[in-house]
Amino acid sequence: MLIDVCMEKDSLWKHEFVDPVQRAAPGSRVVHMSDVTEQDIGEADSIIICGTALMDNEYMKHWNDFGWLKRTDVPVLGICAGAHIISKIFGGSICMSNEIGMVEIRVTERNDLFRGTFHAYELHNSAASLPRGFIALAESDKCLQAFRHASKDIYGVLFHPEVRNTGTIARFLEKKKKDGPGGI
Amino acid sequence: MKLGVLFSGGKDSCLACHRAMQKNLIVCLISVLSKNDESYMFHTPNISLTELQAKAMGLPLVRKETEGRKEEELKDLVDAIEEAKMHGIEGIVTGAIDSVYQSTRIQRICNRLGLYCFNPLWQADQKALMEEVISSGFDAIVSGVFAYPLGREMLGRKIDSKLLDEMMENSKRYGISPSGEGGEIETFVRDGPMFRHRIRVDGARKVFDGDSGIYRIEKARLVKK
Repeated sequence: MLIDVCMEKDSLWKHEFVDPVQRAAPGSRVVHMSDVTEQDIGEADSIIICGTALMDNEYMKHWNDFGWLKRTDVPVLGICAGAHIISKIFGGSICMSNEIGMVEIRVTERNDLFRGTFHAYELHNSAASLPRGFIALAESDKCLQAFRHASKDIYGVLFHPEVRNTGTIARFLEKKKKDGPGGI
Repeated sequence: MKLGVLFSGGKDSCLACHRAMQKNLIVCLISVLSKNDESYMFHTPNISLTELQAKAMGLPLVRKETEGRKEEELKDLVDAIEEAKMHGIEGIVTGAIDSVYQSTRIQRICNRLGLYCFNPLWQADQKALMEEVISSGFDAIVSGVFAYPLGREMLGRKIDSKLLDEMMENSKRYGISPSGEGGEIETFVRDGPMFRHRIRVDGARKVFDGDSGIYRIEKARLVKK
């Protein structure tokens, strides 16, 4: 399941921030953050929380809608705004940090989604701090780029893997296939 | 939300505009006229005809000329977008599909100017976009070819399923982008779903040099649909 966190449901931004992720996760269904139910979370085999536009901070008014993150055992990948949401829900904080364009990412902790040093597309005015109980996985010159829950498959990436790094999404989905029955 | 569309007059900016019109209010088109045929940012053949296209769509056009030097042309784009603010725009729409170079620069400009940026074709499948251009009723022609094996005979041709098949074949054999996103082709839109009038080309000249050529439209006018 993909969660669309753009300002409005079925907005023009969906083409830009959700559809490319859906192409990298074929067969996934899209639910806007305003429509997500406990049943949706329970039925999903994996969840990707997509990003949104640079100046769209509407999702920051809806942290409480993501309380399910603390209860779920479903693998979750938060992209950009999605990473902010994960950090916030687990006690982290959001700070100003601007990166736009291709940026060098250095992996600091071995993980299943990416390795080594690579370039990724960034589009953010804010970064997230590492919440307690999470492990930092990657960084750029400016900020924390990726983290993972210490015991659950909950990942946050600040960069946009749907641009130039769709392998990150594919490897996240493989993880789900290994652990679950399949289907998203 | 009131938006302005960065408009080159080609199929991508027209399709982006069409998609944007389904969700938002488009209040103006913005064109940067580059004097440099090798412009890094701006599509060039027949760019001066965006004025006629804007009239066909019944929208005001904000246009700025640029010498087309690498980063300087971005200052001209900033000026154009600043001027477009008089139309009350809150954001900009672009036809960027896969160019990180182009999208990065426009995102930075919008961020600095406090405007939302929309790229409704971003990362889309290029064959699917070409099919959408055809199925949505756009009348677009090839106005420039810039890669082997695209030849003189391609200039002025309408984008239809036969041309798309040829582009797909060229994509397989020569690795060129099926929609010309890599700059392999440029296009000019004569009609589309948001056009109130269509454009009739009364005179054009094919200019070919080496492996590239331009279909230079010399005479065009609006006609009833």
